[in-house]
Amino acid sequence: MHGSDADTGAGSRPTPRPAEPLPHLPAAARSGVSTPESSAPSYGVALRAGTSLWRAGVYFRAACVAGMWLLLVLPGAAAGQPLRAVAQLSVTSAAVLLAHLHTRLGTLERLTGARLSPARRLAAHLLGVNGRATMDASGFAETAGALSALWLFTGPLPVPGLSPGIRIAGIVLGVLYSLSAAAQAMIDAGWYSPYQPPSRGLRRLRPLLPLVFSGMLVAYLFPYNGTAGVLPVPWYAALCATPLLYYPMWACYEVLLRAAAADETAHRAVWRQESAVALHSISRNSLSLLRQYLDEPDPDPQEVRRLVREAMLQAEEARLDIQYGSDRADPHRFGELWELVLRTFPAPQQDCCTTDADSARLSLGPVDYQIARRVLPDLLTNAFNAGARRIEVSCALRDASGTAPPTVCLTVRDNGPGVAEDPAAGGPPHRSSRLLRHWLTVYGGELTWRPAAAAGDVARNSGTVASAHWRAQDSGDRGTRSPAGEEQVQPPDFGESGQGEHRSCESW
Amino acid sequence: MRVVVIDNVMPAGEAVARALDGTGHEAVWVPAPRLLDGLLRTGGFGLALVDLDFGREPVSGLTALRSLAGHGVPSVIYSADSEENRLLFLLAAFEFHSPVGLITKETTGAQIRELVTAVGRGDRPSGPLRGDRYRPPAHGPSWLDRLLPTSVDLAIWEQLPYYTNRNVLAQTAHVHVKTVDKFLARHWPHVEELHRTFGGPAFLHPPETAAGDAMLRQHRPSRLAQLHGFARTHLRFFRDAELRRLITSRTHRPRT
Repeated sequence: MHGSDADTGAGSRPTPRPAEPLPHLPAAARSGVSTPESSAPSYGVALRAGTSLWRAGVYFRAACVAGMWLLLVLPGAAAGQPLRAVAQLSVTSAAVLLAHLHTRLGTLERLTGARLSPARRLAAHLLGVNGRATMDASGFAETAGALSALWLFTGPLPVPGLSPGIRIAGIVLGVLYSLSAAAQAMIDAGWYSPYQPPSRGLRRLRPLLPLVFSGMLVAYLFPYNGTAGVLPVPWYAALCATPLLYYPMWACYEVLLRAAAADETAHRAVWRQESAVALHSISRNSLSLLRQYLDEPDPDPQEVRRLVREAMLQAEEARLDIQYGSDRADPHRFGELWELVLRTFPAPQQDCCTTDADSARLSLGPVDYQIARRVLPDLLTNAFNAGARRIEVSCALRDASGTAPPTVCLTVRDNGPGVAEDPAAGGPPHRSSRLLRHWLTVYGGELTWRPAAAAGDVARNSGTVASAHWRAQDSGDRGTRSPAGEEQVQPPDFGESGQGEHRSCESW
Repeated sequence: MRVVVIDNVMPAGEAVARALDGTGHEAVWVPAPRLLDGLLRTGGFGLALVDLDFGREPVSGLTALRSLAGHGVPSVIYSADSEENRLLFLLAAFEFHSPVGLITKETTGAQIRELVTAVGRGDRPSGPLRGDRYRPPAHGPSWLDRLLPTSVDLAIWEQLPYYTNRNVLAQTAHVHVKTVDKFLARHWPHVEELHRTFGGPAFLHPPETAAGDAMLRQHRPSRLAQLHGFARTHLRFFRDAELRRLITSRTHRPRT
């Protein structure tokens, strides 16, 4: 996604004619480059990678320190000044512990409430410098730790009494420790932070850091005396030059960071495009269908309201789709539909509606979800229009005995005075309830309204029970499933004429 | 006549049902192409209205058109042609399946009645309902012949939405870099011409941005970057499984 990448596309093109930008493409795409931030290494990627690398680096250095401790206790090591050796290596061990603490943000946060003032201040300091390219306490401690460890085996005053083999092994471990600590500084995420960017001085220093580290090793490992001179010159030169390996390592790290940023930018652009088209398509289609209906002779206001609610429902669904995408465990759960539909009603009406836990957990197949999505708002609207103050909704999958397919039953019980007439019976032919009944018939179902008492609800003297049911339409893994999880699906069955057997939910 | 409406949203099916109310025709709605075969086996369908985009479903209307062709049911595309990413789907639908017509989500109920009545009589729809704009020409190569002459071109188009580096593009498409260069040189004029032909209301013109303009001044526009933008717009089309099947099993040699 970098400018140079795109330019390479023009490098060996057979036709010399320069490409004219297409006016329908975004300017950035036409220019052949992405937006400025897309070509820069991503701070987020550096932070994520750096956190893992930092922790791994601490463990590596801890292993080096453990190796150095082992060298001191090996039979025949015979350090001449054991207490000094222990003291020097303890400094290195403490530095590793501090670096480890720096990777444990939770522990640091707890320490900020510690009674001990130095511990509190140290924790606050380490938290404060996190994600910034700067010198901090753990950085200083590790520098001191590296020097302390190396000058245990070499330097102006090395510990006497160690065999040449142990001394060389100790020096190598000390150099590895130093390299690892310095590598953390080279690839610290703070170099890429847009929020607290490193100072200009630090940025200029960064390319020189390998040379600085190399110079430090030259000074640390210099054969100041015969004891330190045990390290062969070629080894000395090679160990001092190892920090120069940071240059290729740094280049690889930058390439990976930029590639990750470019990949993220490309996927984000695709995602943005898909989301924009989906949103546009959904909103425009909803409004087109509404306009189409309004152009019909004698449009029914109730149906207009339903189409508006449908558009609101689609907007809610689009929001969920874009916000959560494929992360949603079960986008066809009745509970999710319930929440969506309720959002299209005013808040006071939302408070009047309840559903039960089993219904909320019912997993509908895509087709059954669409049918329920069509049925539920209509039945709720009818209940409110009939004066209901309390509405209870349930949705269940009724398994049939034998070979008959299961049925999805959606029941809406309200405490209203009841509907004066069957809402699906009268009115203009294009009235919502009539169309709904038609669709349910196609799917082997029916739509009924009955007084609560007649529907067998002995607890109620008034109210209405509206019931819609249809044959479960979905099959396969994505089919309608009861809350218990058992699969209760049937292959699509439209019947010979598309008309199914009518079963009432009350009969189950 | 029974008319099947294949669209992932029920209100689209209802709009057709409303439009056909009282005409003697009956509309049946199917939300996904995978459910179509089961319905078509029941027989009795004289026409299908097919949407091209099914949202969450990983299929397109091209799959539904194949099912319908297999059952001998004539089809009409029922799609939003205002979306810029539908263009290639429309061209492919008319090239591979020759639907009898095209209606959009903005088509009025009267137009839907007119179209269904015409098909019911055995006539072809007239005027814009014929969708002639998207039909392949009688002579010479079609748009798809030009954009997708081989499965290698499809492989490059599939990867192009994500990459603007020709080396990486060649790697992911499993082709030589020179193949990518030839691809860019060959397809650039086609995309330009496609834009000239279908530009206007079928395309949305995005607003210029300050950052983009600055980049435009600094860098020479590259074909790769611009074709990348085109491929990104039509990502769903180029990654459609049915399109891959159609291209790889194409029996006729593309006219070039």
